[in-house]
Amino acid sequence: MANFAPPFPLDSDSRRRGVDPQETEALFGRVLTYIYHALPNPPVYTFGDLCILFDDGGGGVDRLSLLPDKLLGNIISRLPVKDAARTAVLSRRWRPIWRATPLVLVDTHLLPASDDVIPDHLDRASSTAVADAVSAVLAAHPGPFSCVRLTCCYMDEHRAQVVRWLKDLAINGGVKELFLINRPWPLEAKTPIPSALFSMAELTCLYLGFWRFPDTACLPRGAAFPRLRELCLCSVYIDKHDIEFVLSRSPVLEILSFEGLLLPLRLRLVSDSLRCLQVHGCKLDNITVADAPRLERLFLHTYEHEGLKNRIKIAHAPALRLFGNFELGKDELQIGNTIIKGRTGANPSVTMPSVMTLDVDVRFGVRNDTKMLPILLGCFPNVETLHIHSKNTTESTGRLNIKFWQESGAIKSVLSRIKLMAFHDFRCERNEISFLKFIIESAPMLRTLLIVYANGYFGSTDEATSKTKALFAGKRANDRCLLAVCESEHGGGVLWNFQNGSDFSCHDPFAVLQCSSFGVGHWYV
Amino acid sequence: MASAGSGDEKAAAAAMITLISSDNEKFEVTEATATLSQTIRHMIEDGCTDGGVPLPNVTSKILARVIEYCKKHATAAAGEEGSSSSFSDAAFLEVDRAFLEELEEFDDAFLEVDRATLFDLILAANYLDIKGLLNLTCQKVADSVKGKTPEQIREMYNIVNDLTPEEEAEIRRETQWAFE
Repeated sequence: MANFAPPFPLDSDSRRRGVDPQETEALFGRVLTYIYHALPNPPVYTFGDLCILFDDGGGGVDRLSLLPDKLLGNIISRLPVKDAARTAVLSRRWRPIWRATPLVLVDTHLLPASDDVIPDHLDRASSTAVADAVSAVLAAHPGPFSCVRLTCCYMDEHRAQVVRWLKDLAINGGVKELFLINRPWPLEAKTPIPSALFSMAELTCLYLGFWRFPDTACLPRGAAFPRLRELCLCSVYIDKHDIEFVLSRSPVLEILSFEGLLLPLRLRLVSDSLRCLQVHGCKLDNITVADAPRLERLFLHTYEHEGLKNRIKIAHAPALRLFGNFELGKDELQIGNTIIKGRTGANPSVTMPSVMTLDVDVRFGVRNDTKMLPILLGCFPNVETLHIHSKNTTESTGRLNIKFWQESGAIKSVLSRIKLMAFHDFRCERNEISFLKFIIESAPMLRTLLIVYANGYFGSTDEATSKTKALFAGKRANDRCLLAVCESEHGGGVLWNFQNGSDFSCHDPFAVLQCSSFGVGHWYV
Repeated sequence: MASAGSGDEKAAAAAMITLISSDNEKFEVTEATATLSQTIRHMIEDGCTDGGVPLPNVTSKILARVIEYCKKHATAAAGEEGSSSSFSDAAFLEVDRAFLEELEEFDDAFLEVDRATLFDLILAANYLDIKGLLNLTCQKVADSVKGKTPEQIREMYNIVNDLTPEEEAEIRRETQWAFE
């Protein structure tokens, strides 16, 4: 999907090879950017201090303090932590309410600029100042906190403080949402996260960045995440058996995400609760969905791992509806005991009938890819929404005309169900055009065709319009189709949006586009 | 949003609820609008809305505003359901965005009220248990406090400081980081 460099490898290996410190710094910044991209917006923001309230000239009555405790607490809970603390000195009425209100602690709000944005560069003095402020906040307020988001500390240098924080945060059942993003230097996640993490019984959402996951074999017997709904591990060292431990001790976990893991991911998924698995910016050894009866969404955006295929095995995922991004050149899919490759044929036992939305990368110039596409589609007989990403390639096996597609029989029955097709990174190449023409002549249910031009290939709206309308000039299977055209905002693909991916009200996260200033043109054809 | 409008009309034909303000003014609203209030939803479920729902804590002036909010957001909720079911037909990207922007604009304009009205709305939203309106109004007060010193906040809201200078100094010491 994206062409950005992998967040690898800044381990001892690369240092031996003598990586330039400046490059290291740049890489560090990039890795952090990916992690910050994965984070949801904090629930409390500093913006708003210019807010004006009209005076009612109302007789000097303090109506604010007259509000019931619950409502004053509601208001305080919406404030950045410093603003919240300042309400404690307003009058006698306010202090106990501040103490009883679960607060949101976002450490960027403790920086001198008190900002919502995570700074890319941060000096040691600022990191120390923030760490001291976090300690002071946790000492001043009895907790529990509703949300704590720490992204501004070189935590390895404040080891004792971090241990103390986690102990404080675990008090009274503990924090509900915890984001603990380290800034390691050098870029290594060698330090295991303090195990107090496992005594936060109220935890519903946990994001960890740049940590070594503790050896779960050494944890106390009762260690568990009884309420954890969402877990995201960014650049974390974690072993296969530790992931399995967490899965087995998180009975209500619905969302599991991995971003830029430092080791190739090996995962055997067994979970009665998981609904969404997202893997982005990782090398993949293999993923086996062994038993995931509620899994609806499986999103993969991975890097090549030593030239090996990424092996994805799906044994039991009867509820899976969204699947992608599958890269024909790089990924290998196994359904049950059968590896999908040439000549698998349309065997009903090697299909995934529950999948409705599929996202596939195709190199239209590469014959192996184009041969695999019909075979892959044959495994998803009920797909109604198909996203195709056209990948650029230096290899080329020449021209594939429309006849090639017409003769690949299996694809036809699948296309008979497609209602929406999105073709991403369109570069007006002949092979792409013949595929699109084939779709138009053989997909009778097609109601929407979205063409997303690769950045820089969209000359003008008029040109794009006439080119795409011309696709419908020949034979067509559908009588009315909405044609939408836009240009991708970014040249090198876009980062996967974890929040859209795990938002179950977002029906098709693959369709959430970042368009260039040309906007989206649409017509019925 | 033509489809959403017609959906609203259908609901209107199905069931109307009469709300009665503290000053005895009657408001006819659709059930979809009224049930944004959990309090009223429970009354409807318990079958005690015949002859109107008396709301002794809410004046007609405030009730009119609350109903304006509920109408807009009930329509929005209906529109959202509609748009998701016909997702593949819509020019989905722009429609969704425009729709959300319009709702945000409505909320912003809705909050342009004086302070007394804002507090009345908070109390009404709390009593009627309308989560969206309570969030919106409490956020407005929170935003007005951000970045201000305790002195500025006291002045803005006429809060009388009844702490002794020693007590205040002590609290400030404990939360010194909040004043840096």
